[in-house]
Order: sequence, then structure tokens, then C-alpha cells
Amino acid sequence: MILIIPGLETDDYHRILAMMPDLTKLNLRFVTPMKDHIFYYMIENNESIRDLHLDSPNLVTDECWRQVFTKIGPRLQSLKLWNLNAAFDDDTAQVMCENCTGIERLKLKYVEKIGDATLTAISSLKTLKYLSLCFLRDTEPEPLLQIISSIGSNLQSLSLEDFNNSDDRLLQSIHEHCHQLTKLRLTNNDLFTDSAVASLFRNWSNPALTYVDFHGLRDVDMSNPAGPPEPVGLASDGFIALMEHSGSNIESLNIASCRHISCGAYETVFAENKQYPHLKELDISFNGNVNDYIAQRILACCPALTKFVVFGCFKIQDLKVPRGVVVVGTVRAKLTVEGILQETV
Amino acid sequence: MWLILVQKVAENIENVEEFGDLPPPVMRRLSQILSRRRAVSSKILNLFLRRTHKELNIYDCARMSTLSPLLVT
Repeated sequence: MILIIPGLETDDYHRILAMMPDLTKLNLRFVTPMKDHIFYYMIENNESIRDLHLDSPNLVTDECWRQVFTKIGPRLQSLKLWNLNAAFDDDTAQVMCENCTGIERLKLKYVEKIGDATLTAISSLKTLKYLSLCFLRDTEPEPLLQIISSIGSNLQSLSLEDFNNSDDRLLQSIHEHCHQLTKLRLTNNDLFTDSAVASLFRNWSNPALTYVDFHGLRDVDMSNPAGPPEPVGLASDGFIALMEHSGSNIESLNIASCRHISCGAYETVFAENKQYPHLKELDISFNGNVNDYIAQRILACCPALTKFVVFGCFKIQDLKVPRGVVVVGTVRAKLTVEGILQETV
Repeated sequence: MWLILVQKVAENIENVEEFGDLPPPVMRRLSQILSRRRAVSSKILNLFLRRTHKELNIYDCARMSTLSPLLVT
């Protein structure tokens, strides 16, 4: 069988691979037209690719993925795939995990056909340092626990989005096994309890985190917006514990929609004597308790702040903003920037 | 300063014949700007293809073309 590519000069993907044979990192997004034959060409001709980042290569078949992993898997250092729904199932992920023996960075986001079996397979990747997962299928909590217990000690970055069946055991497992994390993202879950979040951070042997994203850790009950008496998600105690643990180093913090954090907790965290010298980006959207006083305290305690996101914080009405800080999302609030009066809409 | 220059190059990309000796971080920034404008076509892709460079970042490949191969047995 001979593969003839008509008009090679017009096929852009082949052209990339042909003209840059020494590529080590290939990062292409929105690549829906990419088909199997381009991957086969890559296997044959590009022998140094180590970092493969592809968004939506949806016409590639499972058979082809398996071949790719069998052939180039052992030399892959990082693999990031987004938006796959036509192919890439659990069996393919299994082949990936068996062959990518040196992989350090793995990101699988919005990949539709994978689930628990893939999670179990990922727990065998002993070299992983950066793991980022966002599945579309519902998964059981146990395989995630297995990942944390088997490879958690190596991880420097852990991002688990929308795993809404995970419970306090996950937090406990992170507390026990992860000691090198710098980035932690756990989002959109209503099963974690506040006390479990607090115990994750209290007496944790992990150094202070630099990047924390806990958005959407809250109770979801339309008839009871205040939440149950025993707080769910990231609430007051968890927030205080988080900032006590990581405040000295934290650079980016997203606690959007964690609406059970009380005024008192904000006042404790952003008290007169507290400073968060490295915090550059803070998102407290939809935390209805934040008023002018708290927002002003936040600005005072975070001298390095550049971006302050406050969508849905309707109690912020009048704010004096230091020069260099961008405040995003105020509604009808009066923002004063170092003597210059600005009306926001 | 170089950010402004990169912006200028991106604005006039249709008239650019060659990037010359640009380092990878500048190429990456150019790719980001051009991808955001959905401007990376086959012609513009040529500017990014360098035999000596070891990485390629194109953040929007939607305008690139592809052809199916003919199988001859």
C-alpha cells in the first residue's frame, strides 16, 4: 500500500511536520481537520517530538491513537488533549498509560469517552508531576483516591475539575500523600465539607501553594441558599486554614462562588496585621458577603494585586482602588483610582 | 517596547514576507495575536515554519487546509 498525498505543498499539517523535522514541541489548537495519515507521517518522520498538545483532533481514530502511543509513547514528556468526543476511549487511554513510561505532564480535558478505567490506568504513571483532568462522564470517587495514593507524592500540580462525586476522602488523601504541590485546583463540588477542607490545610507538610483554584465548592440547594448548618464546600474555617497555610506564597486565588465564607472569616483573613505579599490575582465573584469594607481590606492586604474579580458582589458600592489594580465586574459601583473619579456602569 | 513592535507586525501581517531571525518567545506571542484574529492561513503559517526551531505553537489552526490522501494498493 502506498500513501500518496496529493499536492503536499497545500497540506499544511504535513508541511509543518516536513519542514520542521527536529520539532520537540508541537502545540496546535483547533485541529479538527487533522486525520490519521498526518499522525502516521509524524510517527515516521518526526523522531524528536516530546511534547504533544492538541486541541480537538476529532477525526483521529482510536486505532491511530494506539499506534501513536505505542510508537512515540516512551519518549513523550508531556501530553495535553482537549475536546475529544468521537474517539479516545478507555482502552486507548490504557494503551497510553502502558506506553508513556516517562511522561511528566498529562492533561485530558473534555474527553468524552473516558471514565473510571482511565483514572485507574493513570495511577500507574509513576513519573507524572503535573496532572490535570476534567472528564465529561460521571466517575466514582475511588479511582481518584487510587491516583493520589499511588502517585500523589510526586505531583507538583494537581487540577481536578468537575469531579462532583468526590468527597472528603479525596481531601484527606491529598493531605496524606501530596507534599510537593505548588498548584491545586478542585472545582465544582458540593460534597466536600468545610471541616475537611480546613483539615487538608492544617498541619499539612506541603509547602505554601502558589496557585489555588477552589471555585464552585459550595452547597447547591435553591430552597436553602444559606446552606446546611454544617458548612459544605470552602466556607469560613476552610478559607482561614487555606490562607494560614499558603498566604505567604500564594500568587493566584480563585474562590468564585464559594458563597458560604462569612464576613467574619474575611475580616480574620484580611485583618490589619495580615499581608499577602505575592497575591497578584484574586477572584471572589459571587461571594455576596463581600462589602466595601472587606474589599478595601483585601486591597490593603495584597500590595502586589493586579487583578481583582468581583462579579456578583453587589455590596461593593464605593471602592478606592490603588493604581495598577484592575477591578473587574462591579455593577453601579463608584471606583476611585488615586484621586481620579471614575464612574463604572 | 518589543510588545508594541510585535503588535505592529501582527497588524500588517499580510505584507510580511519573512520574520527574519526572531526568537521563539516572540514567535509565540505573534502566534497568539494572529490566532486570536483567526488569521493563521496557509500563507501565514509559512512564516512560522523554521527548520532550526524546536517548537511550534499555533493557537488556532481552523484556517489551515488539509487534503485526504489517496490510497493506492
